[in-house]
Amino acid sequence: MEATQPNLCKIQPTVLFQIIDYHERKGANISEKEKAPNRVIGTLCGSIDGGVVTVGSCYKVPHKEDDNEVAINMQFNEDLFKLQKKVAPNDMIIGWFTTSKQIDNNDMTFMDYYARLMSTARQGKGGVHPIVLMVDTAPTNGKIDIKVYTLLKTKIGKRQIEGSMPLWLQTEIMYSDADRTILDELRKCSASSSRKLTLPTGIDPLKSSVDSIIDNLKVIQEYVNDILEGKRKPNSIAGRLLTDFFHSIPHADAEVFEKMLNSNVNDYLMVLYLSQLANVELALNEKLIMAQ
Amino acid sequence: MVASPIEQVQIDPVVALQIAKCFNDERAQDEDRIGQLTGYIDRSSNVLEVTHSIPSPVETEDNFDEPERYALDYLKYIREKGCDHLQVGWYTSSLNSEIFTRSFLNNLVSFQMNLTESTVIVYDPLKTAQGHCSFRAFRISQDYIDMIKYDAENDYWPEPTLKELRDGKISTKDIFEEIPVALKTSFLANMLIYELEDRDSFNPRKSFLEPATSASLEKHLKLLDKVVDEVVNDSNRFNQFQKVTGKNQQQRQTWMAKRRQENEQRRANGQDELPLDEVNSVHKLPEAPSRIEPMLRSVQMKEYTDAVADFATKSLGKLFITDAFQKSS
Repeated sequence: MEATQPNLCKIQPTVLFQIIDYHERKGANISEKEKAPNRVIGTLCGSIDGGVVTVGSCYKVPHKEDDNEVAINMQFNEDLFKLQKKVAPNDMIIGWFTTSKQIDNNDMTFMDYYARLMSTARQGKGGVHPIVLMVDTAPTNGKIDIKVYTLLKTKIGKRQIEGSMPLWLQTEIMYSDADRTILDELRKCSASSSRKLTLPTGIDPLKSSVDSIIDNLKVIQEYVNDILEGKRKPNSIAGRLLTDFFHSIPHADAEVFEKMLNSNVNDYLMVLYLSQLANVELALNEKLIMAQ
Repeated sequence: MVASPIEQVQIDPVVALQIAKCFNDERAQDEDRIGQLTGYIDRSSNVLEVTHSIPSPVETEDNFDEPERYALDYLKYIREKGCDHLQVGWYTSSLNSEIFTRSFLNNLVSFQMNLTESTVIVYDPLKTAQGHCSFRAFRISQDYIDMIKYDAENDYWPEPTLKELRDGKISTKDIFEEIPVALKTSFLANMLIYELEDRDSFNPRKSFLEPATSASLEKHLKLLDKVVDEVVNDSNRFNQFQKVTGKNQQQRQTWMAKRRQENEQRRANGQDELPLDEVNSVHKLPEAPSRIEPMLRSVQMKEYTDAVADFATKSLGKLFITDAFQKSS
C-alpha cells in the first residue's frame, strides 16, 4: 500500500450521520456510578489510494477519559473490526473520529494506538498516516464543523526539535445518486415543524417536482421582468445563460410531434388497459376458486 | 395480542443512508441480500421507529448461515453503542418490483411470530437513484397469522389448505398489508443537513422527469409476461385437480355402494362383513396442489400490474406536459 501523505479525504454521508447518532446516544448505556464521557471516539474504516483517503464506515468504541488518564476498549475495537471485515472485505482501518472541537493532549495516546494498529495490519510496508475526523457536535459557531487532519512529523525551531503537527486535509463529501435523493427528502423533513415527513407515493412526487420547476421558472420570470423595467442591472453572463437555456429546448415540426405524441399516448393507454385486464382476470380467478 | 396495530413506520436518517449504501451500485444485483433492523416501538402513537440497521455480510461459499450468525454477533455489541437492540424486522431490495417470494413470506412469518409489530422494509435502489425516494414497509395481516398453525420449536408451519383459506375468508389481497413510511430527523441531523447543503447543494438527479425512461417498463412487462404464464399454469393445475377429485369421488361412491351390497349379501349368508376402509387404499385421494405458491404469484402479479399502471400514468402526464410546452413555444 502507499506510504504517501494523504492530502484529500472523501467522506460518505452515512459516516457523518452515524457519528452524530452515536453522539446523541452517548449517555444511553452508562451506569449511574460512571460519568458519561464528553465525547465519542471510534474507528474509521475505508481505503487509501494514492493521496486520497476514502472513509466508508465507522463504529463507536467505548472509552473512559479523566483528566490525566485515557482508556480505550481494545478488544471491542478488534471484534467490531472483524465484523466489519465480513461486510466489506476490502475495508481497512484508516483512522479514528472524535466529536470534540479542539485537539486535546490525550489525543496523542489515541494516535499512537491507531498508528500501531494500522502498522500491524500493513506489516511494515511503509509509513502509516492515521487520519482523524473531527466533527463538532456542540456547535459553537452555529454550524457543525467537519475537519480532518493527520500528523506530520516535522522539525521545529532553531534546534530542530522533532515534533508533530496537524496537517489539515481537504474534505469532500462523496454522494451517490441514491444518497442525494434521500438527503433531499431529509431536507424537506427538516423544513417541517415536527421534523417528520411521510414518504409520498403514487403521482405525488411527479406533481411536486413539476411544482418546483414552475417555481423556479417564476423566479426567472421575475428576474427578467425586473431587468426590463430597469429595477435591476442587466448581467450579460446571466443573459447568455438564459438564452442558451431557452434555445436548447428541442423544437420539432408540429406534425411530426403530433404523430409521435399520439403514438406514445396510444402505447401507454394500451399497456394500462392490458394490465388492468390482467388484474380483473386475477380477481375473477380468485373468486372462482374461493367460492367452490 | 390486543395492542392496536402499528400505523406508521418511522425511519431514522442513519438507517435510510445505511440501507442505500448496502444496495449501492456494486451490490445492487444480489437479490438475496437482506439485513436486520433494530428499533423501538412507540405505543402511544402506534409508531414503529427503526433506529439502526445491521448490515449483511458478503456471502462466501463456506458459510451459508453467515447472515444469521453475523446478526447475532453484531447484537452483542449493540448495547455498547447505545443503540436499541429490539429486533423489529429486516430489509431487502426490490429490483424491478420482485418482492413476494416464498422466502419473503417465510421470513416475515417467523419475525412476526416472535414480535407482532415487526415489519419488512423494501427499498428500491433503481427508483431512488432516479430521484424518487422509495422505501416501503409491509407486514402480514393478523387474519393470516391467526389461521396458520405455527410450530415455534421447529420454526415451521404447514401450508394452509384450501379449506382453511376458504373458512378464514383470506384472499390474495388479505395476506400482506402495506404500512406508510415516514422519515424523521433530529435537530442535530438538521444542522448537519444544512451544513452539507452549504458545501455542495444536493441536486438530486431527477431523471424520472425525463420522458424516455422506458427500459424499466420493458423489464416489468417481460416479468409480467412470465408471471401471467405461471398463473395460467396454476389455474390449469387447479382445474385439473378439481376434475380428478370429481372423478375420484364418483369412483369411491360406486366402490362403496358395491361393497355395501356385498356386505348385505354376506350378512344374509351369515359371513363376515368386509371392511369399508379399503376404499382409501384402492382409490387414493389425489394430492391437493399447494395454495400458497399460486397466491403469492397472484400478489406478485398485482404488484407488477400496479407498477406498470403507475409508470404508464406518469408517462402520460409527462407527455401532456411536453405537448403543452411544444404548443407554447
